[in-house]
Amino acid sequence: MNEAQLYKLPQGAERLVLDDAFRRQVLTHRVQNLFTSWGYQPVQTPVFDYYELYAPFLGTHAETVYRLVDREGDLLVLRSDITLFLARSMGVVLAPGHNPLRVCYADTILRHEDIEGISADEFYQIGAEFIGSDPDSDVEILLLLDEVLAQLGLDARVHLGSRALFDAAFEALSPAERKAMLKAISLRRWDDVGRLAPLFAVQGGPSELSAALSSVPVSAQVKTEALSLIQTYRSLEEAGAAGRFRLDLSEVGRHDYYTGLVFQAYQSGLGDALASGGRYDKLLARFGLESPSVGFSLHLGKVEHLVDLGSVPKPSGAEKATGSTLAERLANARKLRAAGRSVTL
Amino acid sequence: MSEPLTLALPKGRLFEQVRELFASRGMKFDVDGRKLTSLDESGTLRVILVKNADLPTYVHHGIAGLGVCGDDVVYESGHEFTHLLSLKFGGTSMALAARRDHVRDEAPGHLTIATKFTRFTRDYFQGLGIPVKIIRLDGSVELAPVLGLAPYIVDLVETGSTLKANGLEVLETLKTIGVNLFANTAYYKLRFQEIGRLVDILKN
Repeated sequence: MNEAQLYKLPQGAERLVLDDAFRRQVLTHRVQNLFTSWGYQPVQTPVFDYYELYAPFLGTHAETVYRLVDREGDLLVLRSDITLFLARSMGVVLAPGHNPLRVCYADTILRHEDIEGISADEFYQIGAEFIGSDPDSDVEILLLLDEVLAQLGLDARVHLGSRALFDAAFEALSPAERKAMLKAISLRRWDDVGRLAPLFAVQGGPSELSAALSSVPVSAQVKTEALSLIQTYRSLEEAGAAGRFRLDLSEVGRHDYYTGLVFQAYQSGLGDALASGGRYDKLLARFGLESPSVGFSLHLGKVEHLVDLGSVPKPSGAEKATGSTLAERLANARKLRAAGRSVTL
Repeated sequence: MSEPLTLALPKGRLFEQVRELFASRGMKFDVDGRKLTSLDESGTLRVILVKNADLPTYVHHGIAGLGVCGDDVVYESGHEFTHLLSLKFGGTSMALAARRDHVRDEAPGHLTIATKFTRFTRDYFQGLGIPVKIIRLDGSVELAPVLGLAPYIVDLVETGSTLKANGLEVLETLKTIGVNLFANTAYYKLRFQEIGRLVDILKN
């Protein structure tokens, strides 16, 4: 046996044991119960799939995925992005003209991160997607995210932007220029953005966005997308759930498959977004099904340490059953367990 | 009153200039040799003093929400931050230099370069399609051509006097390097109003 290998983990591998693993299990169940109560059905995506299918969507992640060759000589990729793997699965399972389908997942992903990434906490994603046409689906997904964050006891803020608005504003750019522009906007380098900078700099509510809209000349399409974003916010307000949401057009989405609403959730004390999502209406078509879709995923590992589990009896703190014989102890344990306690024999 | 904003500042050449800038706007702080954190007198900022090259790491992980350092340092770190303000001091440039009497004797399309800025150098020359062999050094890079370690160096050049003293000259300026105030992106999203006010104060 190689002693050195026994004590180290390959970069990017995650190990979770005992109390930490229990904490994840409890939180996963809580969120999954919430998903179930909203009518979201579980989906498990394959751990690996054909690389070629995903290559066009990997973008900057292409260098970080793990590839391997199967026994037939086909190139495979390990699951690196659940949204992509889910799109592929649903593209095959659903038929055109299907009814709206609500799905959810909790799964690990595998990606190589360099030492600076220290992203072991990004490898467990829990999320939900709404597949199909429904005018309220954007709002439903945001409301669901809001409840998930509340369920976890987080006071995270969710910033809403629009990739559709970006696309409408910069449709004339070449792919390389678009990429540079996406970066300039998301990093708020306004000198590189040009005359639309005041619009993309907006952060706040509908009034701020409306004011910015009238301060710079924009195309009809850009205006339509901005109004649609405002409408989404208004719907959240009407539902009495706008508290943690803000409009922020510097949110343009981390993936190129987004086509509409995009958003990320931020929590004080975390150096990066803890959840992200958006609308991707063309992605499923690439896997054989014309169907719009919107969803989010949350890096549960990033927030686990911030969540108060409450008075959950931990198995590590289990009490010992009393009794002089095994049968007595079993009877005692059954009684205590029925009351929700954690008991060893 | 909300919690002060956290700002990482680099030890070394920039520190005094940054301190003066903030002091001139009513935010005085005192960080001496041993004390590495300090709250400014107005209670707006908690300043953390770190090593220049480590600064992006602290901001990336959100330990400090804001940071000030040169483009060169941020580039080497590979991290990306929300841009807040370009500062008017500390500007310099990244240059390719060699001995004044150097003769190009390597095979065409091939360069051996000694530098502390390995990431920048690799990306810059790869972008031009020129294969480079990079030798990483941590300081006194101008010695490399003098001692024969590598014919070329890529380094920050302010006045050029160090190069001159070692018989070197700038062959080409590769990039202008500025000093910026920037923020961890998530931190910015949560505190953009206060950060916006701070930037306005510094701008005027």
